[in-house]
Amino acid sequence: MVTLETLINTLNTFVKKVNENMTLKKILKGWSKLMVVRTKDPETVATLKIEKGTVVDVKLEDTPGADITLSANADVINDIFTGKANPSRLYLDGTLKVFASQKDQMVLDSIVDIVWK
Amino acid sequence: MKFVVLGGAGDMGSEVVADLAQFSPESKVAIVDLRKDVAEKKAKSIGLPNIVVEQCDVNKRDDVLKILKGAQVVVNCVGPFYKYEKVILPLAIEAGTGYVDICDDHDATERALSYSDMARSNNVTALIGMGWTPGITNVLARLGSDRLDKVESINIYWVGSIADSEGLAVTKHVFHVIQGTAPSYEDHQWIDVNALSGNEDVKFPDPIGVQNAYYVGHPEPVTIPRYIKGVKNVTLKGTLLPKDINKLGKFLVDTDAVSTEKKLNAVSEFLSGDLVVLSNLFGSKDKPLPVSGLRVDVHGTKSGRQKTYSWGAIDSMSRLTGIPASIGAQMMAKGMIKQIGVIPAEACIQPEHFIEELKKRDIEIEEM
Repeated sequence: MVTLETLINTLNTFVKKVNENMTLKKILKGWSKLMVVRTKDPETVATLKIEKGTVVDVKLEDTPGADITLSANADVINDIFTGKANPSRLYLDGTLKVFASQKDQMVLDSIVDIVWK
Repeated sequence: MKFVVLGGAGDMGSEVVADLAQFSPESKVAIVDLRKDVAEKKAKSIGLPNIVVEQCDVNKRDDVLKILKGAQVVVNCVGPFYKYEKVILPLAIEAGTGYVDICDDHDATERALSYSDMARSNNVTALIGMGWTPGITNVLARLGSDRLDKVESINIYWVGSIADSEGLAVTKHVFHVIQGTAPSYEDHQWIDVNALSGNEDVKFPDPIGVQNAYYVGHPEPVTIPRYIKGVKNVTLKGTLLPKDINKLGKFLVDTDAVSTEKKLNAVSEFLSGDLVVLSNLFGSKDKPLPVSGLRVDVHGTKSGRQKTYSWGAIDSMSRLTGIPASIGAQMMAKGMIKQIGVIPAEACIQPEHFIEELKKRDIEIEEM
């Protein structure tokens, strides 16, 4: 089982990779969102503030009314953010719950793909 | 000053609203949409105090006229334009309101140009096709032509990603323009070419790179030869990401699955219902980037030598489309567009000023 510490490290590494990626900077200039990541086992919630494709803030707290909410078991979330799992496949089989517009779902899918390519 | 954005709660319209509200803070910007709840949510998410929401069904003539009469400039983002251009443009002319749209259908553009005398009699300027393509593409065609002594060919290309759009109107537009024939301007004449033919590998700005584009029906070959005098050829080709989605489009056209309005609407609604599934089915090897792009090549002669100017740009489809429309509306409101009648961007937009405005919004025009 993934620990809270591992999960936080994973999230921070992912954020660093996103922010350093020049391709994402170029293609996500208009993408500003609040994203909540919610896990079970252990129970955690984090809010990522994304401005123009750059993650500018990560807080271990909930944000009601966020543009995007991801929820799944911690090991699933960990696999997604370490590039071991395809988020859209997990969404399609119901392992990952995503509350977001179709466009935001596809953007997220691309971010994970580009970061771990 | 009041700007009205019809369809302002949509993917493209909300980008127009956001840009107008930010860059014209002294003006009121009205999101006018049938879906009041979605419009209010968009207004809240943009979060600027000069935005108001008004509900309107564009099929109700008197309601639309009333809203248009209260505005200096209306930006029409209600698509598909092959259906709604002929409904809304005449009403703006009747209301005497400055008009900007993002019409991207060739047949709707030809019809819109036929309203030019009516617009001139009412002293109205109607700037049509002021989005990404047409729009940015037309301004770049003008820029290249102005730099040459003699312009020979203008070749325009676009690439649109299904991971970069969610509006039903976009899907309907794509099916509309990839079937039947498409207008092209070749050897000083307008001709009809088969849509989905004339395949050509085209390099777009990175990370999109090389894509295979084909003829589609679009407004640029309809308007550019009217305003860029002496041009011999104006062609337009487009393509979709992921690559394999083009095969689905061709299959649906070849099997007559989208050949009537009823069928086109049903297929579009079905496909737009789950773009995430579609993106995974067709993008399993080649995941679509959530970005769209354009390229314009202008060939001709300068100082007796052959010369080509090539430019490209990439960004989200909504920014590439909504921001030019907003810039056009603001130029109109400031009196920077002197012409009256129904006119495209290449007839009235000063390229250097426009490109500078794009730059302020972080949209870069790259030399290719």
